[in-house]
Amino acid sequence: MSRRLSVGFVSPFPPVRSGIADFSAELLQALLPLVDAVPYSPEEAARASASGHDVLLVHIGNDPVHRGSYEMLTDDERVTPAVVTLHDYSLHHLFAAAYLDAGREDAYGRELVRNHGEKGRQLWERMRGGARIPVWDLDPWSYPMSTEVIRRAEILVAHSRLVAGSALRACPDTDVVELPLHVVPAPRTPREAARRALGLPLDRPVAVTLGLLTPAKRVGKVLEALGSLPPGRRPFLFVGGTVPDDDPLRAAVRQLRLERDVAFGGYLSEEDFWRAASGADLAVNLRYPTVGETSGAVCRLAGFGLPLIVSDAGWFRELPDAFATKVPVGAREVEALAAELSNLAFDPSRAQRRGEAAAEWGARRRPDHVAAAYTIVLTEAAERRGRPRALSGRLGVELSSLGVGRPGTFHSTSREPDAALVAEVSTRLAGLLPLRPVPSFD
Amino acid sequence: MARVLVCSAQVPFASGGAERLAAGLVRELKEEGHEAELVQLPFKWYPRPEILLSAMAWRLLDVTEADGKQVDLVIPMKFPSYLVRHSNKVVWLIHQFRQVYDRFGTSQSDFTASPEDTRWRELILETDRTGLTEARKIFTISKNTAERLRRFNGIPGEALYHPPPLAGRYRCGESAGYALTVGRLDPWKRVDLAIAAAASGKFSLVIAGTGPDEERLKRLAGKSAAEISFRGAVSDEELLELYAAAGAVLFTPADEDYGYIALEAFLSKKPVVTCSDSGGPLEFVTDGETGRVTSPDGTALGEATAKILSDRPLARRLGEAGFERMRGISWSAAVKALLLAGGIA
Repeated sequence: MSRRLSVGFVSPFPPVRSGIADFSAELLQALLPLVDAVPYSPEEAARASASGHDVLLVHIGNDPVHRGSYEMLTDDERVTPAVVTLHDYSLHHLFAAAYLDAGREDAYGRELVRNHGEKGRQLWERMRGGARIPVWDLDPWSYPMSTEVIRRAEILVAHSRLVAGSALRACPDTDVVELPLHVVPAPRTPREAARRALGLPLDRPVAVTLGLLTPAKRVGKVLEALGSLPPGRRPFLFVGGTVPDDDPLRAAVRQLRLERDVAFGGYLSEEDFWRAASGADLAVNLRYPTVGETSGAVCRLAGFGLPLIVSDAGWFRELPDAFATKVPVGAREVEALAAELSNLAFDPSRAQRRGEAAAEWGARRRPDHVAAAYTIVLTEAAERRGRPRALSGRLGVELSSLGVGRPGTFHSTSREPDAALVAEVSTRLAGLLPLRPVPSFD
Repeated sequence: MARVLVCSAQVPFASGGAERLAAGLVRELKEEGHEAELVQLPFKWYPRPEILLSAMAWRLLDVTEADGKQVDLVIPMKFPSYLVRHSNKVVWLIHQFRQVYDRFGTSQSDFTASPEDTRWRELILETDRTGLTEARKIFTISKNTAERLRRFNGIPGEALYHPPPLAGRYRCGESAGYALTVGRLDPWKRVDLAIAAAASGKFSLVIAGTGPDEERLKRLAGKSAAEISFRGAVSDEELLELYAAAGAVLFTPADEDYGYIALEAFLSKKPVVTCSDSGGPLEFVTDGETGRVTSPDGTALGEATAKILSDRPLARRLGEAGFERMRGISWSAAVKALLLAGGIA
């Protein structure tokens, strides 16, 4: 293809407030020097599909805002090939909110069946029969409802090995490529000025927890860990994100007598996010449970050059040990967390080494690098040069014989091991296949 | 003459009873006039995916033929080698991946009750079910291993015993009055119990073997009033001599699969003192007949061992009975059973 590639880029974009919108805006800017990319909102997805582009780039996540993108992807009349970036492995809330909340129950049922076959049909029958199904709390690994998106993508982009493995487990013949979340260079404020602006102490180490605050961030565990440390070995903790006045975290701070050690910063503007990072010595962003999501905040903090403490779970486990300390979830969590918080906070040379490793990791993920890789993938999809898939059938059969993708004796709800295993197998066997010339980000 | 592949997983640079057994089977098959080869793949159990990737590696091998000639029988012996595909597979099971079975919930397993670890356990269970139920027959090296297989997987297995590595060379000599402990110095072998027994029973203890628990055990022994001697790794001849001159053999592991030590002691006509939770040895040691079985504590073990060491006629009687107990355990019987199960007369 000698002329520039024409790409219909379907995604939410600002002013929509979402991580995917911000991400897509940054990626679009990086793609423009390389391809002719035209942005479309999800509501405009059908128009994008009909506009004669060489290829579509569709970014999709677990939010009803993406409904138009989904309906375009699954339109049997679509002829333009699509590269789909799956930001969340589970898309269940997309369908529940887009269809159930809108009174389109039959559409939700249709999608359950389309994505999960007989298992989905049975669930739908139970729901129609009046059974009380906790739709919003369905085990995300059991009903991720992403199978149809994966099936319809000419090439699927995953941000982690975990999601790549999950996609291959669901659809063994998926052409999946792993490209990282890009990391933008961030504005840096001198440390003292940043701390003064946010009211943070100047005379002691500061740890930050930033990004959307949810129970899965396990801030309560971080507080417990701080409380278990002698006062002289505690870093100050700054928590960005909205914490209501009656939130148990505030009570925990009082109970643990951490009033002088913790500050809640509320919702942070983009400017204050980077200010907080500038004032920090380390970041502690835990997450459990996870459904394989990649954390944009963690990528940004690492790229900023902060050493990280994360949970030993999901995608976080894939972060390099050189800068990410992974604390186990469960019995030894608080103990391990306390030890590493104190260690990183009071060993500046170690924190600096790890921070430098994090910054290097981020530098390899600048938007222009990621956009160059996207261009290769988009071109392949446009030219319909699929990967050889002959091995996948045999591997699928053998993985299934080990129990992958099938219910187990103990009725475990986790499917992370299945995904991890599939990802490993596909990664190791990738060397046997013709390589896609995507640059390495490691 | 049959062409037989013996399959086993191995942790590189770590060699123990399982490796000797696999090599012994190949040797004995050849002795019987068959073509036999040992196929080994390295096994790594961390991080978790490696466990099942090893299973996949076995799954993807084609061992139906070698150099254009049919392989008549495969005999896998260890997890996950029994995932190997072959229409004529006879398993002789040494043990499964015990961390997810009987060792789960103990200090010898790092698997937790988290949903993720629970899923790993499910996958390993399913892997075992697949690999084992394809076999024409499952032998186990002991009733203990068969019982675990029945209890955790609901799969039947038949115990098939084999002699220890130096069978035919063991001898009995005059007792020099010491108790002997042999084996790899791993925590689960509980050599600390033997040290406590020596202190309690006030007898001399000789320990042969090396392993990761060695330094701790030496510190323990240093604090003991008993005379305790660490011999480290010994040659075959030294081992035969240590058995020959022992007054009794102390063998105190936690739920051992089989336990060569008891068989070696009996072939040297020495009584064995073991614990009620030691697993495999209990299939051979009968309390008061071929040795003593006590609760797993130093005082009880010390008292039982001291009594045997001080009563030579008793030691001789128990040792002779142990020797008789070994009759019928031979390589030729084991090889014959394996080949018969594989339809090879």
